[in-house]
Amino acid sequence: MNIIGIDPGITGAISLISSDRVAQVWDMPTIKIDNKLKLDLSELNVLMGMVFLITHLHRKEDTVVYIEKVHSMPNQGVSSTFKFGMTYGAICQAAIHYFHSYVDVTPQKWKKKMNLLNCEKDAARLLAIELLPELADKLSRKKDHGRADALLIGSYGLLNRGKP
Amino acid sequence: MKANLLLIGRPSADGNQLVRRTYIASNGDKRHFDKSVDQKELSRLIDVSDKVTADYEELLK
Repeated sequence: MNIIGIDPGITGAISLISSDRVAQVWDMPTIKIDNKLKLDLSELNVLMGMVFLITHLHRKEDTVVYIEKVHSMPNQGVSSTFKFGMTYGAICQAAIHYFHSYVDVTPQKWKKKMNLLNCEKDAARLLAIELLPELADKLSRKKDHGRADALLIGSYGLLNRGKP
Repeated sequence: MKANLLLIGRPSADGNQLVRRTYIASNGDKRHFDKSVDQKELSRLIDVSDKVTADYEELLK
């Protein structure tokens, strides 16, 4: 089984744990427009297409996509909430386009499974380095938390055998 | 106490795969085992990780 884990958002990432258990991670593609960082929709489709091709090499195996379920926050501004929702929607659409479906997973659910509830934000990155030492160089900076979250969402999917 | 097995690895230069088996116990404790395996052993380990949970106390012995 191939597992894709997605931490949606501009600073998020996409991870793939292929059926031969090799893990890879890519940053969410972004573009600066009017000095504002936005999701690069074109590059997102290229990236998802590449991930699709990698999973297609393991065509006998199912592929399950896990996307962290996000929602608006009470104190968030209308503009940033709309922007975040647009980004989330585009990522979900790309997942549907290439893989036909995806599994929503709440942060509470995957963090509970990985024993990260009530831990500080950096704990996820340190856990990802512990579970995936071969990717330590891609997780060395504190700002690599998006990559770590995507890998741990994928690991959650692997532990759940592709089930919600 | 039961422990789930998470198996993730990377290819090595000799054609084998270096795998890290992490047993995650229900209380959050973890124990790692690193091993270089060939494709046949990798397939066996993947089958095992998909089907069984381990007894965590046994792993600690």
